[in-house]
Parts: sequence; structure tokens; C-alpha cells
Amino acid sequence: MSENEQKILELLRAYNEDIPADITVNLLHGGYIDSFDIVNIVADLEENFHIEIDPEDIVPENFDSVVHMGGLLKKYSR
Amino acid sequence: MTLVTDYLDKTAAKFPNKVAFANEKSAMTFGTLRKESRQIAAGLMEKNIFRRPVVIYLEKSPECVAAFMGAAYSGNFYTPLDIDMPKARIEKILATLQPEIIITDGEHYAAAQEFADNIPVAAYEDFQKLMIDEAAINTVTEKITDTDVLYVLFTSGSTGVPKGVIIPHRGVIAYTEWCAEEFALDENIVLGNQTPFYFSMSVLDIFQTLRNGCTTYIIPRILFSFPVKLLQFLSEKNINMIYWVPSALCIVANLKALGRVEVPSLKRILFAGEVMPTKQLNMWRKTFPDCLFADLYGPTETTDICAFYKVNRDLADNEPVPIGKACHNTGLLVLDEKGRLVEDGRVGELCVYGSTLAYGYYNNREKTAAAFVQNPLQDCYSETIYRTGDLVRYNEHGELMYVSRKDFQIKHMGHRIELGEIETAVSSIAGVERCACVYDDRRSKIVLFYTGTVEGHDISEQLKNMVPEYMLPNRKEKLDSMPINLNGKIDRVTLKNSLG
Repeated sequence: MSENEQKILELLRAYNEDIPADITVNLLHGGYIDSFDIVNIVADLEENFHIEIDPEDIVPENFDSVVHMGGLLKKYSR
Repeated sequence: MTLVTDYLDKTAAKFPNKVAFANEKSAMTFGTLRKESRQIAAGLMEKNIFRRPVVIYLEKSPECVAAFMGAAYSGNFYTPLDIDMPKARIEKILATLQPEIIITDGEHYAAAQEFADNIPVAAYEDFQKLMIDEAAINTVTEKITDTDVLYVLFTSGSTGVPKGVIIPHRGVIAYTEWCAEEFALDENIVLGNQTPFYFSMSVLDIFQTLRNGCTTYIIPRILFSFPVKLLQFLSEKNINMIYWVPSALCIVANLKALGRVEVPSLKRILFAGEVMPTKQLNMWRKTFPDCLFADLYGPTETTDICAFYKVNRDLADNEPVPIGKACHNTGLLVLDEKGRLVEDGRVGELCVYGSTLAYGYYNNREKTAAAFVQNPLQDCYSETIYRTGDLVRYNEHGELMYVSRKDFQIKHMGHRIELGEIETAVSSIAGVERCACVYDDRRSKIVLFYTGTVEGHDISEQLKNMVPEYMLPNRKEKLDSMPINLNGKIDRVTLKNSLG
């Protein structure tokens, strides 16, 4: 697990402490994050990683697992 | 029109092959909807269930509406339970309701059996194998009057015990007729449903569809996390009317998705259920300048809505959205603490009378008697009014303005304060996304919870110019996320409990 992924996992566990350590688990299908949580998760990622996420990137494919959120961050840190 | 089943009879005859309701998994035409409804009715009649509560435990789906109508055709009344509802809440509801049967489907059968105890559980699929005796169903339906109960919807009570609001056919017919006339709704309307079926707002989507022959697309819940996809969905399905909670509209605005996708079909944007922050409303208006925007107001106890405001002028970001005036065929009274009529700009409690009124709370005469009371303005005949517990006042345009919940009105340092007024001011500040004020009774402090990018001291700086000093929050808590309850509204109970 990369440092970013670790940090993301910690952020998400603030919403649901049961989020599994397996960072490839689909959090949306698994019901780990609620639909109204995303707006706050986006704000968390923006604040903690000093980025601004484009609305076009706020899609399930980028938020369904820790790995994919990590991938999204990578895109912004380039 | 006497019964809601008359709507379905008429529309199924007129548009048998048109899609009535659709979700991700299935789409059902009016013809099939009526047929499947009557199969449910046949099954309930076979079990000799009449004028009794029927619980529907299904996903939000076309089948769910068919089960509702099946209960109605057979002279029974329904209560929808959400499949995601916590078990503890379901048990409380069942204890109050004592239903005759639980209708579910194969997928949720095992889950239903877990909480059913000794209530019979029946699968939707099994009803669909039954033969329909049309004449027998008609004989039962002919016995039903518009004062018979149609459904019981449960709302959260302040003490944690859910209250079952009893609505007769007449309530839904009166509400549906008003809404169709007021917003000129016909078969060309395509609705995008957001609200759960156990929430009174869904009554608009369901019964406008049945009355007019509209099509309702049940929007997958997940899309409310991904606003660009949500707008694409509206556009693809040619949705032209939405009736959502403000929280859902705010997500789209706050994630900056507005304007990213063209939704040329969208013409009517209605909202209700909680206060719509004007800042986010203005963002929507800017993006959809040709749309009708309307703020609807009402508790479940008035079927859904008793007052409305069609947005017809510019509203400043710090100016609350009016709740407007009474719906046609609904009466509103603003009463002071002594039960006297308030007609100037003073604050009073909003009270409602008319055909949309509920009968009270199921199996709870005490709570019913507290809220459904004799009109204090006359005592010559029985006339029930419903005390909403909401404080309102008339503005200079003669429009009703929501002030706050009666129990939000606090006494702080000798001043009478409406927490809602502070919230309106705070939510207009740039960088604030959502906010809620609660009163810490133990410490006598006003506590502001908010989410957004702005810091607490910046809020204080700006708030000083908007509200009197005694209304400034004593404490400001920036949250990562605002707790949201099952209906998608800000969960004030959780906020208050967090004070310790």
C-alpha cells in the first residue's frame, strides 16, 4: 500500500470504521460509503492533498475503491 | 375521482403500453401495472384481508407501486418499509402497526422473515401466479370510500418512536389534483424520482404518474454521489421535472457539476422537505434560467404539501426562500401562543386544515390529540386543524416565511432566538456548504455545525454584519461531513447528541 493509499484509507474510515484493509474492495457496491458521503470525501481529498478535483472526475470509476482514489490523486499530483 | 385506483383504471385504459415506472432492473407499463396490482389484490382477498395494514418490503421499483395499488384495490392500506431501514426501526414500526401480512419478493424473503416474527410473509412472485377474478375485485373496490385509509407512512418522532401518519384516499386525491392543476402536469411529464417511497414527497411522483400517465424514472441512488453522471441521466431519459430534497440539489451545486452537462429537457424543478439554501438555489437558477422553480412546504400530516412558492423574483443569497401561500383547497392559519390569529408580520405557529389532513397517528391517540386539535377560532362544530410545530411569519409581499421549528426557538441570554435565522445567514457566506445550529441547553450555548472551506473566525467576521450580536454562535464546529438521516435531511438529533 502506498503512503497516499494509507492516508485515503484513514480518511475513509472516519466515515465507516468497517472499511476493509483490502484496498481493491468495491466500496460502493459493498455499501461501505453512502451516496451523500461523496461530497464530503471529495472535500477531504481536496483539503488533505491540496488539489482541486474536476467535477468530470467525480465518477464511480474513480471512487469505488481506495486504489482508484489513489489513481485519481496521482493524476492530479503530476 | 374518488379513489386513487380510479386514476390507475383510467390511465391504464388510455395508455396501456406506455411505461409508468422504471428503475435499473425493470420498466412497467400502465397495463402491466394494473394487472399486477389486481393480482396482489386477488391474493389479499383470498386471505380475507380487508381494511387492514399491509407492509410492503421491496426495493424502490415498479413492483413496489403495484403492491401499493394491490393493497388499495383490495380495500387495505399499505406501509412501505425500506430494505435499508435499520432492523430496530422496523421492529418499532411493526409493533405499532401490527400488520396482517408482509409482501416482499424472493430476493428479500429471508430478510423479511428475520423480523416478521409471527406475521405472515408473502412473495410478490407468488401473487403473480394467481387468477384474477375481476368481478370479485370490483365488488370489494365498490365498498371503498374516499375516507378509507390508503396508507400509513412513518416519520421519526422526537422521542425516537416512529409515528405512523394515516392518510385516506381523499388526502392523496386532493393533493394530487392541486399539484396537477398548479403545475399544469399532463402525460408529457417525465419525472426523475429521488425520494424514498416511505417518504411523503414520493407521493407526488407516484400519483402524478398514475393520474396523468407520466413516466417516472427511479434514479439509482448512487448517482446522487456523482452529479455529472446524475445530470447525464436526466438528459438521457429526457426528464423534464424533478422534485428533490434540497440536500440532493446542493450536492450537484457544491460539487460544481452545474453547467457541465446540458439538460435541455428540464423545465420544472421543485423541492421540499427542508430549507433550501438560497445560495445553491441561485446557482441552479443561473444554470437553468428558463426553468420553473418552486419551494413546496408541508409535513407528512398534510399528505405532503400545504403551501408553495413559485420563485418569481431575484432572491439575495442571504434572503430565505419563502414558503409562499396555501395550496388551493387547503386552509392555513398562523396562530399565536394563545391560539389567536396573527395577521401582521409577527411570528406564530402554522396550522393547517382541509382535505389533505391526516387522521392522526396510527395506534397512538395521545400523540394524535396533541397535534390534531379543535380549531381554537370557533367551538360551534368539530373542526380539526393540524398544528405543524413550525413557526412562520408573513413578509412584506404577504408571503409566508418559514422561521424555524417551534422547538428550535430558544431563549438565550434573555433573547428569543430562531436558530433557523442564524442558519440562513451562515449558509449565505461564501465557502459554507451546509450548516445547522443547535442549542446546547446544558451549557446555554449556541453551537454552529458546518461544512465547507471557510474557517470559523471568518464566519464570525461576516456574521457580525448579518445578525445581532446575541445571535452569534458561541461555538463553531467545522465538520468533515454533515450527518444525514434516512430521508437525506440534516440529522439534527445526531448533532445535538454529539454535544454531550
